Amino acid sequence: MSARPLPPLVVRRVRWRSPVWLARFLAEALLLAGWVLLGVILLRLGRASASAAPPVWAQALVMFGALAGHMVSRRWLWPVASPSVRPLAEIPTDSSSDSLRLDAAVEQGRGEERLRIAQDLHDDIGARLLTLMYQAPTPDMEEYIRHTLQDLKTLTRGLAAPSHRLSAAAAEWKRDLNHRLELAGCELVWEMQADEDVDLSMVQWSALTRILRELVSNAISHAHARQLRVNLTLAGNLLTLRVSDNGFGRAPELWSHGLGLGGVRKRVKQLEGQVNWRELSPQGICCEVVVPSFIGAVPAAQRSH
Amino acid sequence: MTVKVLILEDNPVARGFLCRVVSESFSDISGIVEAGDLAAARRELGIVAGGQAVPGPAPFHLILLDLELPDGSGLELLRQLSGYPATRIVTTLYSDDEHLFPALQYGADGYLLKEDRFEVLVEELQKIVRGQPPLSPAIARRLLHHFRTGEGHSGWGALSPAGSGSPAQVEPDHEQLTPRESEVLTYLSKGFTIKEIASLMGIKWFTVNDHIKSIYKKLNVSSRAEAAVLASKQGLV
Repeated sequence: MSARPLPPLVVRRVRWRSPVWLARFLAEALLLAGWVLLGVILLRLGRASASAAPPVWAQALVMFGALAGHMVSRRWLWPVASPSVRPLAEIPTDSSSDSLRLDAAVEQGRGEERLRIAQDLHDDIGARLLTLMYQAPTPDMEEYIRHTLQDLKTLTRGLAAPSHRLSAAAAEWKRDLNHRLELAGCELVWEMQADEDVDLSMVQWSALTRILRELVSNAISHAHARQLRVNLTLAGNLLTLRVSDNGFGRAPELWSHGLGLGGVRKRVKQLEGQVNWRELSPQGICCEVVVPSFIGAVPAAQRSH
Repeated sequence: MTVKVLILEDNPVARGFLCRVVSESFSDISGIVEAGDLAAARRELGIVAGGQAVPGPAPFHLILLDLELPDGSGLELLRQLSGYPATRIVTTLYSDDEHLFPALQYGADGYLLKEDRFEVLVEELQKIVRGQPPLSPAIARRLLHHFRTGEGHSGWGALSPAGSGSPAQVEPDHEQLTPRESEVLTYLSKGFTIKEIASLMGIKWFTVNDHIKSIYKKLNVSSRAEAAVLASKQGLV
C-alpha cells in the first residue's frame, strides 16, 4: 500500500503576553464581567426587600450561572473549528481507504517511536549502567546492577522487536538459563510442549522472561540448587509454567515477598494468571504459574502482528 | 609467539575492564594498544582513506572492537579488516541478531557481551580464540534463512535492507550448507546446547563444533566475496 502524506497536525500556540494574548485576555475578562453584572442585577431584582441581603445559596447559584454562561459564551469568541490543536479523530477523511491509511500511519508512528525510545534507553542508560557495574564497590552491588542492566535489555528488546514467536522465545530462554546455570554448577532439565506456536505479545514475552529469570536467580542464590527443572506447556488456551529445584528452600508460605517474588506476582497478575509455591519431597520448591486464557488474555490491539 | 592486541572501545572504564580480561586470558601478551574511536584504530592499523588494513611488520593478532563508536560503526572497520590476519571479536552490549549477524557477515570471529561477568568473558574469549565460535538461537535462525534464501547478496546487512526479492528469485552463489550443518543450525535455533546436539545426532561435541566453524567459514567466504565485488565497484582495487 502506497501511503500518501497525512495532513499535518498544526499546533498553534499564542505567545505569553503578546498583543494577541492581551486582546484575548481583555475580551474574556469583559465577557466574564458582563455575566457577573447580569447575575448581580438578577439578584437585586429577585430579593424581597431593598434592605434584605440575598441568601447564600442564591448568591452561589447566580455566580455559578455566571461562570457557566462565561464558559459557554467564550466559544463564540474562540470557536471549536479553529482550536490550537485538532484531535486526530477529528481530521476529516475522504473515504474508508483514507481511514485505513491513517490507521497504518498511526501504527507506523507508534512503532518508530517505540524503537527510538528503546534505542535511547539501551544506548544511554545501558552504557551508564555498564560503567557503574564495572566500578561497583562490592560483588553484590555488581550483580545487582547486572540484573538491572539485563532487565533494561529485556525491556528494550520487547519494545523494539516486532514479534516474539513462542518457539523462538523458548529457545532464547533455554539458552540463557543454560548459560547461567552452567556457571553456577546447576543442571537444567528443560521440558516444553505447545499445541501451537503462537505469537507472544510484548507483555507476555516480557512477563515470562522476567518470571523465569527471577525464579532461576532464587534457585541459584538462595536455594543453592544443583538441578532445576522447567516445564512449560501450552494446551489450548491454558499456559502452565512449573519451575522446580532441589535446593534448600523450605516453607514458602513464610517467605517475605520482596522485590524478587513481588515482581513475579506482579508479572503473573499482568498475565491474569495465578502463582503458588509449594515444598517438594524430599527437598526443593516448585513454583507453578497458571494462565487460564493465555492466547486471549491480551487485547487484540496489544498483540504483536 | 607473543600476542599483540588492539582494543577499540570509546568508554574508558569499559576499555580498562577489557584490558584486564585480555591480560587474564593470555599469558603471552606482548602489548595492548587502546583506541577510543575509529580514527585512532585506523591510525594504529595503518589504514588510509577508506582502504583495507595491511599488516605491518608487527601486526595485531587479536582485535576487540565495539559496534557503536563516536565517529561511526565498528562494522566499517570490520569491513576494512577483511584481509587482515587477526582474530576479530565484537564486544558489545547488543545481544540481538540485528546487530550481531551483520558483524559475523563482515568477518567477526565471535562476539562478547560486555555485561557478562569477568570470568565468563575470559572463558568465552579463550574459546573464540581456540576456534569455538558462539551462536545464539536467534543468529542460528538468521543463518538458516541466509543460506536458504541467499539473503545478503543484494545488500549489506545493516547498511542496506537485506533479503530484497523473493527467495525463489534469488540464486545463492555462495557455498551451500551440508545436510549435517543444516541440522546443527536447526537444533541451535531451537536452543539446544552443543552437548545436547551431539547426543541427538549421535556424534561427538567437537564434531558439532567443527560444523559450526565450517558454517562461520562459509558465511565469511561469502561476505569476503561480496567485499571484493563492492570494493571493485567503488574503484578501491
